[in-house]
Amino acid sequence: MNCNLIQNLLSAYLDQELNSEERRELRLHLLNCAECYRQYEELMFLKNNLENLAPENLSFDVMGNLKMRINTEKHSLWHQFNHIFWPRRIGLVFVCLTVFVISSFLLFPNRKSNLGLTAQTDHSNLNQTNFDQNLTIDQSVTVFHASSVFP
Amino acid sequence: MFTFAAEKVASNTTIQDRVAIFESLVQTYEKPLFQFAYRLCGNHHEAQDLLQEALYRAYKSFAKFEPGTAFDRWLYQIIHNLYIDHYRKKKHRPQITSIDEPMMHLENEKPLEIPDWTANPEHETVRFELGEQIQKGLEELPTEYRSAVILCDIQGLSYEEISQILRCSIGTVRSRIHRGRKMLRRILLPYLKGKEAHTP
Repeated sequence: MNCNLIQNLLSAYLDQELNSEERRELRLHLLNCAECYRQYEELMFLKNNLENLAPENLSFDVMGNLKMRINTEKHSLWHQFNHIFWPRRIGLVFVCLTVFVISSFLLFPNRKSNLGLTAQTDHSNLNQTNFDQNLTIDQSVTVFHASSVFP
Repeated sequence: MFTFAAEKVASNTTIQDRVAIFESLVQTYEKPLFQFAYRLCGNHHEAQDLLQEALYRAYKSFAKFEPGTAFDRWLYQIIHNLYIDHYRKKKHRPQITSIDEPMMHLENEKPLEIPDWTANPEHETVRFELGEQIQKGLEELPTEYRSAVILCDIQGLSYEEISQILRCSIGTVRSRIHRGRKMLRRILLPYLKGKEAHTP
């Protein structure tokens, strides 16, 4: 192994993350190479300092704060009334959809099922305007439909 | 102990039990978790907020917690991900500075006052100073290197555990730790050598 490769393995060697073969080779190299040994010492010095770093004091109640946050959320107005609002919202959406469907049927009466409604309306119109007194009711409806298609 | 607790999470459905298990796990691991958050952020307030947010999210998804996985490693992962998100947001946000803050060129003229809370203030000051220097050095590292170095050297986790937390291969962890340490050595060595020379 050359110096470059050894220096890349130094951290893993310090952390005991190399296999026995790599460890043996690295140890042999360190005995014979002053530069690699210097780097090894510097890394070990740094690692020791990091390991012996004084722990920071935990100056607050972790679980207390968490419980407080959970309770605040639980007792917030939104969470308290959310279960009441949801069925109402669903009901409102259902009513809107129903109104939409009914109004669309009334506004666009082109289906066969709506012909009866149209026929009634047309018949009254015909009577009012005296469109053609000789036509029967069914004939006048047909005439009206034809006139709506061909103006 | 942990696996036992985690299996209980899956079997018990009552909220009280869930809270009790969660609380006992938090009490076991709160100190190392705070250390990790503190070393990542560099100050108490941010570390506290980060830990609180991580615990809150962990509590919310505790029912989905996989039995057999370590609670502390799961939380390390949440803290790391939250920090990365926060860091990204912070990077795109313009930095706000107070007009009351002292000017940079005048800062050196103001003596730093450290309160004497201990029986041996000299020793505590040295420890405090070393901790500050290391923290400054850590803050100069890229986030990925910083997390890897903290988890390895301060939290004492193995490369395999770190690879699970950071979701990368062991090779990547090895390279991040090595590069992180090399950068940290370059930053800290003048200070550490100076301190060693002054020590009798």
